[in-house]
Amino acid sequence: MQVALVFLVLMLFSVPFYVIHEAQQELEYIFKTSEHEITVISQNIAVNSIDHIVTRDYTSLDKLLIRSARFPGVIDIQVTKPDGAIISDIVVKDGKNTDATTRYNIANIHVPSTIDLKLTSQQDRMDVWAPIESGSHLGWVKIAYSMESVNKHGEDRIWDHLQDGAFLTLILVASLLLFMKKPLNMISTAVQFAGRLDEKTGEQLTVPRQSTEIEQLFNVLNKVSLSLSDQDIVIHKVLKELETQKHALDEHSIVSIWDTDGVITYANNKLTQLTGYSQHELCGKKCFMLNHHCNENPSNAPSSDDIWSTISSGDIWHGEMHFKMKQGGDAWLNTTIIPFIDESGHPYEYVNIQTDITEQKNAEKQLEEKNKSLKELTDNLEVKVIQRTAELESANQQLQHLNSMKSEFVSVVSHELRTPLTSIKSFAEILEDDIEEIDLDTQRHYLSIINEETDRLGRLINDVLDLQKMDAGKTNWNDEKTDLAQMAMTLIELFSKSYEDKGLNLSLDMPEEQFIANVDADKIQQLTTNLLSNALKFTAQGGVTLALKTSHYRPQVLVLKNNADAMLPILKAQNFNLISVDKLHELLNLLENTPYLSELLIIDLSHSHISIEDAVEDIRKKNTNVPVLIITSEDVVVQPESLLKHQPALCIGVSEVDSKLPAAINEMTTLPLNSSIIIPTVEVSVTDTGIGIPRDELQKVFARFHQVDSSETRETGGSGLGLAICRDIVEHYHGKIWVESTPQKGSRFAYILPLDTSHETEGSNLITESASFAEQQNSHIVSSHK
Amino acid sequence: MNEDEKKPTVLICDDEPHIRESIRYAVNKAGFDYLLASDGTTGYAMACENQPDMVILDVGMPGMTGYEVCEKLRGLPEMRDVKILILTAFGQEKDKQQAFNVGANDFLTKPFSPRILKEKILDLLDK
Repeated sequence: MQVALVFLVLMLFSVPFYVIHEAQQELEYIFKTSEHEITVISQNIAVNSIDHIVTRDYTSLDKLLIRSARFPGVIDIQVTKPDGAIISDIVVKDGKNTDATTRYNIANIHVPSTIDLKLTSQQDRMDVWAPIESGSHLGWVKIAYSMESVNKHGEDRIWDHLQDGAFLTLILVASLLLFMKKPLNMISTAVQFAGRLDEKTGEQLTVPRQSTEIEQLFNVLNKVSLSLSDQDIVIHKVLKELETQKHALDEHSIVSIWDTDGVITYANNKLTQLTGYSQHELCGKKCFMLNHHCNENPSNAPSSDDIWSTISSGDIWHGEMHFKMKQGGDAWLNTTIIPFIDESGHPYEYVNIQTDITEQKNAEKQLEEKNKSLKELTDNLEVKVIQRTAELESANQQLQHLNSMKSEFVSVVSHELRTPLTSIKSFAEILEDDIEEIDLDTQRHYLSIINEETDRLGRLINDVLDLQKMDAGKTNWNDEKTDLAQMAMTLIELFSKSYEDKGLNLSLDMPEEQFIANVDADKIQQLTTNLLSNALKFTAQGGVTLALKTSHYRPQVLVLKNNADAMLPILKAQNFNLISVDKLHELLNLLENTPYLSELLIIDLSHSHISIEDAVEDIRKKNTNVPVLIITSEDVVVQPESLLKHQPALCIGVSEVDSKLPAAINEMTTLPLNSSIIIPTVEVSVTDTGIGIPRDELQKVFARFHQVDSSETRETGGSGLGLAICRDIVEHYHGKIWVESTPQKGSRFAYILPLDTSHETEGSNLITESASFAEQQNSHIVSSHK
Repeated sequence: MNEDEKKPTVLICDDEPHIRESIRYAVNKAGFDYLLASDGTTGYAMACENQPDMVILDVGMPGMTGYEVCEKLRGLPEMRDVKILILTAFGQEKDKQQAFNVGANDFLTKPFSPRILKEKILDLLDK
């Protein structure tokens, strides 16, 4: 069948080529034939015209020519003499050689150069020259032949051939159609079947036995139909499952689908119910339109950029989103956004599945807030407990200290009372028992001891009472304007005899001016008397000088600077006498040498290897009372317990210096802060050339019942309360008392008191102004103990 | 008391001169020789040097307290049998107990009676 088909097709294609070829052959033949006929005619005329030319019978010649001119295609016949002179000329007009001779035409025509038969062919005509010869050359016959007839004839022949070809082609096509009709019908059936496959999968074609190929085609189509049917069943099943799952998902979750531009393309009912927006309002909008962007947006809500960055790179995003509702309010949604990836690996769609966890979130928030407040409560409670415990411990320690001080005081008082009593009782008993055996001088001596010890007992009782009164705040302070210069001169007078008796020089060193202080004159005299008595007692040779001078008191603050640079400007802004050192041992040395001179120690231990406990312990060995402020690396919430036994002491963090330093100074001391006023004071000193005081005793001399530990002091018979009373008096006036001493060389006891400058103002308002100025002074004058 | 016997020596150690004088009177009255020291350190040195028969110690003294002197003396083999009497103005039971703890033979609270002191000295020296 295929061979037949190929044959027919080949035949069909070869027909035009055959027709063209045949037409060309025909045309060539016609042309050759015409050439030959014209040549024959011309030669015939040349032969037959010889006689007419020789005889000059031109009429006959004309007739001959006319006859010849009847040949189709001839358009002109000319006979010429050898030189080209026309003898006869017949012109054919409209296909009829009607016209005439032109023998009378004298013009010559151009003749060929050689006497041969000659044929020239042009586009539309052909010229034949035949020589007329009869022994000699008699002339020429020239026939002009029109090619039009030849061409027309050829065209006719070609047309005939084309008609034949067309007919043949028609027959062939008809045959082909006839031949192909059945297979084409079958293919058409197959095409129609294939076209119906998407609708009627599983249908089968009857396989014809016509052709193997068509049979195969039908079999393949049947297979495809069956396979499609199977796939259809599977797809149907899968679609059903998907439908069920989608239904389940829609029922359970909030679902929306976004395109790659982040535009919502689908929003399920749950989403519309939750947000209050309709499908129409949601679809076509940007996916993050629902995100909470207001100020109350919790900081833990994810940013849209983060989410988009994750999913657009093809990763699944899990998290919690915070939505705002159309009607106000908000919701928290547990969210999973799944990018659907195409073959090129890029997301083409995002499915956002969410669950409303607002209630859970609110519960969590409430729980968190409750936990937070509980923690705050616990922390506060803890801090309060720690603080309270510390306070209680501190109070307890103070109480214990007071108690032990009280016991010690009672014990010491008892001891001190028993000592003179022992002498009194012993010698009274001796005199009672053995008065007859004892000589008169010894009796007098024993009586003088009894007298002396009775005085000592009396003084002791007075001192104890004085102290007790001061402690109880029951001392009467009869303050009045007192000229300390006058008092000094009185004292010099009073003591001159005693000093003279001991061979000591007593001098007064002061400028000629008044030193007016608003004080109880008796108390200040008692204080100064005490110092002069002590100097007298402890000086064997040399002399004692009582000196008065005005001074401008500035509280001395000793600073161990380390890293806390911020504190220096704050301290410098105060009216302090600031002494700063770099090393702890330098500070300890200063303390050892001048234990009473510093009002406050500020120790920067931030970023230092020295522990707070060690530093304070070292300081307390040098000075038991000075307030110590410690700067630490960390902020201080609760004061270290170890500081309790070293009070007054406080810790602040290095970062808290700006905010807490002045308050801490204020808490620990009465040092005047932010003061530009320098308080005028009087400094009274008693300098002796006596035995001096060992360095380690310097800070103890003002303690009650303390006596420098030596037999020499015992010989002097002091109560051990004098200097303690002196200190209490000075501190009552917010003054300061201290001692500087070198053993075996002498001591210098000094105190400062605020001067009353109100007497320098005008008289009428003296009292008022005096009082107000005194208050101002008092608020700035410092005690080393709060 | 036999006149030919060498008189026992009593070391009196007290920083209060008047009290020292009253003790000296009592020792003298008892018929013994005496040595005087005005602080603990001197008292200890004198005891070691003179090997007295008895030491009367005040408690509150510069240098060393009476308790310290007593304890140190008792640490010396040659001082094990010396009679030590502690005198103190601290008259509580605990003070008395401490005196015996450091090895004192007897204890007397200030203010004392020179009469009783003399008797105690005689008792201790078994006279």
